[in-house]
Amino acid sequence: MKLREIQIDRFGVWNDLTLPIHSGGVTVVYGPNEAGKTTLLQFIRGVLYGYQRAPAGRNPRLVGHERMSGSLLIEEAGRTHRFHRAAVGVLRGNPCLIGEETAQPAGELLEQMLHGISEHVFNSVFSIELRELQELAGLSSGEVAEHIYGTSLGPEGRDLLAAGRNIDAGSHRLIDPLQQSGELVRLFEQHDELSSRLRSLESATQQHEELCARRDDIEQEIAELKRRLGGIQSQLRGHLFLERAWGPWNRLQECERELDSLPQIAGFPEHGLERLHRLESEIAEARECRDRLSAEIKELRAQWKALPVDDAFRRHAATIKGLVAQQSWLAELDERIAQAQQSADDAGLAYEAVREKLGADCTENRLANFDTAPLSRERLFGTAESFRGALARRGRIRRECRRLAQVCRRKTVAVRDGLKSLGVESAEQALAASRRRLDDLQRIARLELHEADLQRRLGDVRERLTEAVSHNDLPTWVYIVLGVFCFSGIVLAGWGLITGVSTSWIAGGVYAMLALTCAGLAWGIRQHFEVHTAERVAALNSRASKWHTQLAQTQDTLRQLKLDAVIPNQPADQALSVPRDTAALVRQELLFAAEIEELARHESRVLDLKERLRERRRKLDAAHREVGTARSNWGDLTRSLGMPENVTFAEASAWWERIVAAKAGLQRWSQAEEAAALLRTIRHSIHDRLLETSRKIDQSAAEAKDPLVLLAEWQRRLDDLALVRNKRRLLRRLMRDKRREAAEFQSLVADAEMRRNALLVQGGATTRDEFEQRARALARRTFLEDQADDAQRDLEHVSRSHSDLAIVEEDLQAFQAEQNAECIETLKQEAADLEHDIEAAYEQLGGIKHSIDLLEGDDEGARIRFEREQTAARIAQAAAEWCALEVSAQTLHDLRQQFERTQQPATLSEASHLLRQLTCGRYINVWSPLEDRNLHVDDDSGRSLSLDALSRGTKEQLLLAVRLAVIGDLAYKGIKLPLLLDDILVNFDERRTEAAAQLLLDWANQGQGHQILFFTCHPHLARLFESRGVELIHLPADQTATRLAG
Amino acid sequence: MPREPVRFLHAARLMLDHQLRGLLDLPEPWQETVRDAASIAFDRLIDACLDHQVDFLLVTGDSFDARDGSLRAQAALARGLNRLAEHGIPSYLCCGNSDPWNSWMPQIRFAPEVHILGTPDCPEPCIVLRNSRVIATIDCVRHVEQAMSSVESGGVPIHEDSSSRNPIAIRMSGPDSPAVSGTGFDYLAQAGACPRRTTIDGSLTMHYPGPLQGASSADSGICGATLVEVPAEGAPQLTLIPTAPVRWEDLTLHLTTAMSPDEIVEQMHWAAGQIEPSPAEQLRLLTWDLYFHGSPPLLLADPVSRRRAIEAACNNPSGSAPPAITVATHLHVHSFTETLQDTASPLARDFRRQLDAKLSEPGWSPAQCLAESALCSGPWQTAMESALAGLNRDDVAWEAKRLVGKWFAAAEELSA
Repeated sequence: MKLREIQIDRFGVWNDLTLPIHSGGVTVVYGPNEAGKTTLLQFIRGVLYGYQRAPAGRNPRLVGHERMSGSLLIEEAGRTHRFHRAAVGVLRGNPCLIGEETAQPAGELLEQMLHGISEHVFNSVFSIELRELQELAGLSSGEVAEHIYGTSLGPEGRDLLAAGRNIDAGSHRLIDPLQQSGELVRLFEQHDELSSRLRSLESATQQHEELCARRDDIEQEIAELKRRLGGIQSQLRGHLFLERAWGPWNRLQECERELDSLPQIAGFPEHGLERLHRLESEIAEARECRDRLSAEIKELRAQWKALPVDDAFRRHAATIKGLVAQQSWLAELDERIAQAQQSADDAGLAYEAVREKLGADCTENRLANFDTAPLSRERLFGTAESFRGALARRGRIRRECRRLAQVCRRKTVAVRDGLKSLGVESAEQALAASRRRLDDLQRIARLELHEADLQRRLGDVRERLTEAVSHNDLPTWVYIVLGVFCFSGIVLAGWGLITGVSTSWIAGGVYAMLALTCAGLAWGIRQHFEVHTAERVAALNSRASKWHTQLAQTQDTLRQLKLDAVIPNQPADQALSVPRDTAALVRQELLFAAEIEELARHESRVLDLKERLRERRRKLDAAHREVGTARSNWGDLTRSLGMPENVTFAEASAWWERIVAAKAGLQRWSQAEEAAALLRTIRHSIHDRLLETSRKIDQSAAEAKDPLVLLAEWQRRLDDLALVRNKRRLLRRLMRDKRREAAEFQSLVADAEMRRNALLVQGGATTRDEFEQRARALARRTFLEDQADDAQRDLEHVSRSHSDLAIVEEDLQAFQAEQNAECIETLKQEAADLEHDIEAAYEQLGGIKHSIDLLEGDDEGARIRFEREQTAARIAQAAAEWCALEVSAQTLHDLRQQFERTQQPATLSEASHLLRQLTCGRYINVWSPLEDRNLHVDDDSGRSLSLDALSRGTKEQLLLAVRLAVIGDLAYKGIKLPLLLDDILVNFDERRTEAAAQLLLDWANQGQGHQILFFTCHPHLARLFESRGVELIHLPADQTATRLAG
Repeated sequence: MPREPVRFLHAARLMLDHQLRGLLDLPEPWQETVRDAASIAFDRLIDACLDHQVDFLLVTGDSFDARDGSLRAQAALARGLNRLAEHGIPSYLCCGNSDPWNSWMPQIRFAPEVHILGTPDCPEPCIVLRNSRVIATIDCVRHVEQAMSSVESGGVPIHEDSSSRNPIAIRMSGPDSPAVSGTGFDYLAQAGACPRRTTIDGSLTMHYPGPLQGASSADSGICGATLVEVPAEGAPQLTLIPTAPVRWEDLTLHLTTAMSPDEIVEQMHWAAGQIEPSPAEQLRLLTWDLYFHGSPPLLLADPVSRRRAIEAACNNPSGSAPPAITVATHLHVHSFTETLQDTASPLARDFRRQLDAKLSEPGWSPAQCLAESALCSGPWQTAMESALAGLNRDDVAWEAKRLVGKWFAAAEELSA
């Protein structure tokens, strides 16, 4: 976009001002202070983006209500548009186009020409006043910053920043720079705490030492106590020895003295006195028993004789006993005879009742011969079941045949109606035709897409061709230069010819060579600019021709296909005359095909149904035949059983049950009669035996008695007889035993008397008293000898138990028991006291040893040291990590510095290049740290300086270079807007001002060229540009004609 | 007259109640074993003395570490030696650098059969009796070195380095018997802090049994005591009696970058299975040194993946009977070639190149790194210096290079 003219109707100090502007290069607008240069700049901004508050005019009363109006003539892509904008007061106004009518709104067109550059970016980059040039803020945010610093750091920059953040995070996690937090600090503190706890355990060692010393003292004390206790125990043992020895010794002395006074008795029987007493008592007891048994025998004999016995009854007792045993059975037999007779009568009545139901012709013989076996019954019911099953199957198949026939008829009619409604004869043929038409329609659709694509490509090629032809024109100055070269060539050629002929051929040749050079240069320049364009146009033409041919072929094919395609239910002429939507046709054809397919499916189902119906009818015929066979079998069977032929299944079953019941009743009646007769026969035989036995015992009374009464009387008499016989047998056994005992006692008496006499003779006595006196003397002597032996043994035992002590006769003779007991008591008390002290000392020692064991076994120190070693290992690991992080941080710092100086965005690289020119090589590099939108510059000595460290002029030069670089970057992307500079070179020194002016001129002529409007009030700047061929626009000094009246 | 056969156990560096170094994140069930490893080893030593019915026990220094100030250590020592004394087995100990005589607690009581050489209560040389006959004479070397140096001009290289200080010389006969060798002693029991070793010089056998329980990964291999059996004629026979419940092992593997993670794990698994099991070991601690020709794979760069790989490699190594639980403690990865592949990003290559250059600078050390950092002064400066003092330069290099792969996406892609 380029400005061609500024037309101000009213804006600030300006009124009816028209300024034509060159479309390329630098345009310098010169005017003194208050000439309205800044107002002009604001006006341009206002027309492009909307007016800000109007600058102060001449009339203060109109402040805030001033009218702003004007237009800019803008050239864009070879066309010019005049945009006009008017507003009053604080309104910004809307743009409108003057002198042309377009479908596109003016605002939208203007925005399109500004390429989306926002007002902020335009004011920060393209429209710069001196104040804005000095501000960095305009470049540090938003879209401008993205252009300068790049929207992205790039993968390497991201990695560098991420690595730096990781290092910082890792280092801070381990230990912060102030060493107040972090894992390492925690571990150090933990290590110190563990060491402190370990030091606190040293007191345990001191305690252990004290306890050991105490233990030694107590052990010494215990040894002393034990020594004293040993002495006391020794004395006590002596006294106890004397006490124990004196008793046996004294007893021994007394026994020896009494033995000397007793006589010596030899050969006296051992335990003689006891034996004598025992023999005498045996004799007395045996005599007494013998006399008592004799009296008892006499009394038993008298009782035996008093018991009576019936001899006749006793002789037949065995036979009677057998008959009496059958008494209860005989009574039961009578009852069973009555019951059997009653059962026979009942069975006869039941049989008669059943037989009457079967009719009169059913005799007992016929019933007996009737076969009621399970096999016959199974045959009857099996035949009936098969007959009934055949009937049921035939009925089922018949119903199924009827149902299938109805369904088949209904579906056939539905398919026929469907085909008739679609106007086709056969579904299959109609479906094939529909599919063919569908393929044709799809092909048409593809060709239409291809046709549209070819038309689009053809349009693009034509557009690019037009663009290439329009850009083929060379600038006017090129033709002028070429003309100058051609003219110079002709003149020099002529001059050379003249010179060669007239003066010197060498000079002529030189002039000819110059002419050739000029011609060659002209021809070469034109060729250089035109050949490439011609080739491109030729290629585009070739491509357009090729696509045009393809388009024509496609359209022919499409036309032919549309002629061939006949849509059903639509006339062919209508199909050709009316433009049709192919997609709608495809949808219509798809619907038609779907209906046909549905009908075809229904037709297929009807055929299946008919096939199933034929199959069912064949099965029905088979069922008929099966029913006939079953009926024949059933008739044969009923005839064979004597039933009528037309009997039903239920009647046959009931008749069979009655026959079976009647036969069973006949059998039961016959069996009951036979059982009753048998019981009666048995009763008669028993009665005969009773009569015969009774006659043998008592001839007179036997005939008249009932058998059961007779048997009861016999039972009573048998019991009486058995009782008497038992009593007599018992009395005989007692008399026999007592006689035998009496004889034994008599022999005992004789034996004892003989042994007593022998004993008296052995004891040297003739009488019992003498024998007793000699026995007592002997017992006393034996007792004393035993006492003496015991005393001697006790004395020896005491002596052996105290082997270290000796028995001294004099001490025993002088022994005083009471005095000795007192000594023993005293010594025991002392020993007990000492043992108590020792026990207390041992208890104390045990406690101390336990404490020592606890201290020695305490593993708290080991646990703490173990934990401290683990902490130390963690510290080592964390330290290694920290060291790795630190060395990585140092390396990364170097790498980042290198990266920041060499891997900057393209904008800053271009800015470096421009700054170098602006500062005449003093500053050579512009860069910004990663993730930090601050600018730094490197001077020619390699120093890096921040923006704050630069002088005012240098800072302005840096920011100008950055803006020019941003504009260059935007131009590279196709965004070209005029650059408006308002006296920005005032702080530059002379040398850099010249360099800046030259840079602006060079930069404006780069590539397609940039338009620069340079506003200045400084004549030297105006002259500077003017001296470099820039045309000045002088703002009128006297603005009365063009300014509003104040 | 031929000498009588003698059998004794020689142990050193008991370091009772001393804790193992360089362990962290040990699972709870094994912490007790590690914590009491030295005590367990000492109990096994006492049991071995009783099982082998030795004539005496010889401990050459460093029975405990005096810096620990552990009452439990000295009490356990006295308890064990007194137990031997109850069975009539005398013990002979000498002090080492870790347990100087002034650090022995006077209140700890030893049985009369326990002799601490070099102390006022123990006259030297000591004689060992069996059935009232002298079967061996034991003396500290400071009493015999003069005699030895005078017998042979070259002398026996007892003081070949600082680790062989205070050795004990044993003559397997009575003082009146003729000397077997020129020095008059048959066995030189060395002390120190070096690995297990044996040197035979003529008829003199010099031996150091190594620590009873390895204290760190430096004490790699089977640790224990030595059963010395001196026959009637001939040189002493030495047999290792394993006692250490915790066994350290260094494993070195040379791998290639082209190996897949599964192949690396399989190689590690195979290497772990090649370790000859020891009947005493309950826990095996492995230190891996993996050498790569090229950049190590990401498997070993990511801590979680690395831990899983190590656990998979240590899981039931073949031939590890009797059952021993294997735990990996450290993994050092070394790379022979420092060039990254072409697919690595230029930034990653530059970073590694500059990192290598910095680490290769002469005089670079972790301490210097600390001095150049913001932590060069502050409350924890001394602690930091102390922590960095024991750092290995390769470990730092590996850790830093691991971070390269983590930070730069291209490097991650390369490793993946």
